[in-house]
Amino acid sequence: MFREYYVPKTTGQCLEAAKAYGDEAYYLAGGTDLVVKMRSGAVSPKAVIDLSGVDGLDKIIQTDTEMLIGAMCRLTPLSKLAQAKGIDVICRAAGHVSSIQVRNMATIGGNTCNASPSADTVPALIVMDAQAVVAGFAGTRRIPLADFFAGPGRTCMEKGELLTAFAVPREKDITEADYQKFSIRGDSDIAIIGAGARISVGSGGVITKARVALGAVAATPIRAYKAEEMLTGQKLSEELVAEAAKAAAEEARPITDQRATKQYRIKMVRIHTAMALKNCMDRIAGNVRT
Amino acid sequence: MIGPVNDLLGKMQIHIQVNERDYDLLVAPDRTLLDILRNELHMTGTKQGCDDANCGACTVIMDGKAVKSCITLITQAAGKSIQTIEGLSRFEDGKEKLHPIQQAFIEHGAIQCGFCTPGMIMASKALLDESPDADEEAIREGLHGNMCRCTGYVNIVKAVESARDVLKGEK
Repeated sequence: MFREYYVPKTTGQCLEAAKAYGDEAYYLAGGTDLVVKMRSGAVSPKAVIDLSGVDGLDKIIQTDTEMLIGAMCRLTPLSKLAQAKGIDVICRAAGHVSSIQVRNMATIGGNTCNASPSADTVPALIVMDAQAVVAGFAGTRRIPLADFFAGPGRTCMEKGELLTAFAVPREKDITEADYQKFSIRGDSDIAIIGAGARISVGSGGVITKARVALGAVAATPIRAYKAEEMLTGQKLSEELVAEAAKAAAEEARPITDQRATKQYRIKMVRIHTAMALKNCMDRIAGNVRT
Repeated sequence: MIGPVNDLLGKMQIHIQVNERDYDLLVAPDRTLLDILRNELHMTGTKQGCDDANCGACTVIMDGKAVKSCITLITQAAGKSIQTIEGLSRFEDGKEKLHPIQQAFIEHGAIQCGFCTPGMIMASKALLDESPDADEEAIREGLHGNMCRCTGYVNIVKAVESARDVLKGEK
């Protein structure tokens, strides 16, 4: 499958090893996507750079302004995180990826870098305004997740750059978020559509921040900007939720494939975006006693 | 600048523990744990099914967690403790004593062709070790990564529920 195997201890060593091989080295996170691709011949790297020994990539760090989720955080412990305030939806989405065996090895960074349009953790990261923290020789840069994907299986990272963490900003307003995965055989199937929603409310119950992110309905995960505009500055209601869900469905640009037709996906976006928004609304109502 | 670890003609030394025995391997890093278990250690209880992480017939327990050995590189198992189906039963007074999960699978008709069985049992063991009170929903969720084309899963779930009760001392 590959010839050379590296076990770096620092991100600097990762970058150096990757640079030596150009296009012909891959970073190994959990391996649940990469090893499948190598075995099928979809990719044939000369070298694999194992990230599991690099210090600090699997930590969750809280600062005053943000939460940093290390890219090597494995999905099972992430999905069961007790102190998840502020990243609940990301933890919940992590629990929707595939099966327990896969989640025991797979990582949140790998789920993003594999760049499937249907990746379950991505809509959750997008609605929480997460930025990808990317290390390169020129230094570290941050890229909003909504802008991180270039196409199916492709990110905007330069070859050799390393995704080290996700930075999720703290929100002072009351915030609830939800992710709905629609698939046939539960989590172990790839999502037919994924719908992420997030609502932050300020005084008087007015929506200060609305985010809707959709997976599996375009070449990359997308934000439904029109739905978001419709929600911002308004008060939540069942009618508003229904209108926003309709707008999100109109922004989806799915294809017909072996899982579902384009038309069915559009219908499912409307239904599941409404479900996600309604869950946010119900939880906020539980929080805010007006 | 670090160099590749597999500098012994492409191979590297890897230590693993399988069913409480230590093994020192000299292998190429791009072999899978499944390949090593079956073809180097001759433990053929773990099955090669789909070979691409879908069917779960290759499930083993690594450091207490169920993993699919067909997509686990042997390097990812380095220094770890692996349990396979061969390591589940015990010997007492010279006789083999099956694990309660194995016994329950037999008693509840949870085995037809038997090909998914080792993977199902190991996934069930990992599940019950982590969640000794797992209910039907949790059991079905925990077995999501294991496919059976014969039984329709009903008897498998009943077997795991029964084993759960035995392990809790309720039977």
